[in-house]
Amino acid sequence: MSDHAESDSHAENPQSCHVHIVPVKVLVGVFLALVALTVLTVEAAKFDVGSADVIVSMAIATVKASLVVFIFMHLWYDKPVNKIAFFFSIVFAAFFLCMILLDSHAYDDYVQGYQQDKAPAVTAPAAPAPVPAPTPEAPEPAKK
Amino acid sequence: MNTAATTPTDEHADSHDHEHHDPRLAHHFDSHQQQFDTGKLGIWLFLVTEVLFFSGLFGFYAVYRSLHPEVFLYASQFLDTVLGAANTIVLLFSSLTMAWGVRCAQLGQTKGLLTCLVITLACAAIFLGVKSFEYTEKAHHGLLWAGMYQSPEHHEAAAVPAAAGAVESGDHGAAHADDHSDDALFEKTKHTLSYMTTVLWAVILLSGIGLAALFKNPNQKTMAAVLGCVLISAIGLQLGAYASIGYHHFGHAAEPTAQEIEMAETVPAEYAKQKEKIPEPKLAGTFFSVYFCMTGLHAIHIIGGMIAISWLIVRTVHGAFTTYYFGAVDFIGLYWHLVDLIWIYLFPLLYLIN
Repeated sequence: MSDHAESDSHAENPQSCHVHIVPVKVLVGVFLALVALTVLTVEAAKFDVGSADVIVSMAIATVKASLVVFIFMHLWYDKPVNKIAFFFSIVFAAFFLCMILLDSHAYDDYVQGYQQDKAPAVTAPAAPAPVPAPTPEAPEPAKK
Repeated sequence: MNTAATTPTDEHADSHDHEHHDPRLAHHFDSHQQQFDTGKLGIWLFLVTEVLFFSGLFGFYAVYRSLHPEVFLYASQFLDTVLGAANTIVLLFSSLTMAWGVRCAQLGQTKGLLTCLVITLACAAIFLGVKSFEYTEKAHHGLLWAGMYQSPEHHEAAAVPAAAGAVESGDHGAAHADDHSDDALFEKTKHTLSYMTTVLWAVILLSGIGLAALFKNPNQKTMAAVLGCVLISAIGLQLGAYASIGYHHFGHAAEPTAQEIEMAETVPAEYAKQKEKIPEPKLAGTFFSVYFCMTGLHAIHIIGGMIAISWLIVRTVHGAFTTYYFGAVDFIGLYWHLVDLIWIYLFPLLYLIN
């Protein structure tokens, strides 16, 4: 039950493989923390905090993800090459998401203009809402 | 698996000098340490591709949500947060047992490893069972991907015929007059699910046979282990599905006390509808496209993980893993944690939109 399995091992011995072994207490603690954070994120979603909603739930999810990656996946104790590989995959995924978000919002003006042109023809028969709603989609991009 | 490395007629035999070769060490590695580190780098590179692979779907989600937040607001009310949260905890627990199993493997505790792997497999099956209930329920409510999506408004139009004229999709409402009340849909869901679990048993049995066929020279131990894995998966699936049916029953009995009675008593029906309901956006079906793509791909990863864990169980039964040879357990564990990781993000993104 020691932290390290390398008590009797030498680098030359081919029948050895030293790695970091996570203690049971840490594993169970991380699991309990993850469950607590799950409950927290469910409860937090019940409060109406407007557009900060996504940020809060993503922040909690990222804390949970870090716990899983660093403890359950041993990345904290892992070799630098593995850390770098995973770190850059996250960085590039984030970069990718930012880029496509930037790109899709670059045309907001055109889309709005198009929808305003189209609006009288489309909304008149479909208009269900009690509000007259001249351009239902128009204020949407402004929210984000 | 290691037969290629241990055949005596190996043409690279001159490259290693010890005359008795460890069957657990592939011939092109100097030491177990080197073999383990190489494998670990390999699995991390695979996980990198997985992250980038899923990031495409997350991109789909991000763009669509930023352009049409009202669609997500509207459609996520049809996802059951309790079931989602329960599934999250089941998956987190399976992650714990997997990490514990890796620890057991590192310490050479075969019994503990076997127990942990079995629990992990069972949790994965329970997750899929709950998921299959959710999918079936959505299918019966017409909440499918964009092409197949049917507006849920027409169920309500049928359920409350008096208000049928007021809602936008009143033209659908008349066609399905009687069989779209909530209870009827639930009965249908249960029926389909019991049918589906039968089919799933068959599928699992077939995949079990397929898995068994993969092993060369199957002996009784192997067959027993495969059979055990199949049984655990099938029982877990049914457990998950019936637990969610039970939850639904219970929820139906308990829920009206909270909001619905108050709603029904204090305000007239049309007014309540107008007030509490977010009007249905035009593109609501696309949310379910996102939902089914992301959770479906995740479910496929779960199934892949279950097959891999079953393979580990069979090898554990044969005592393949020792204190210096546990790479396979660690690597499949890493994959399993990544699947968990993706769910950690999917759950708030899909279920918790306020």
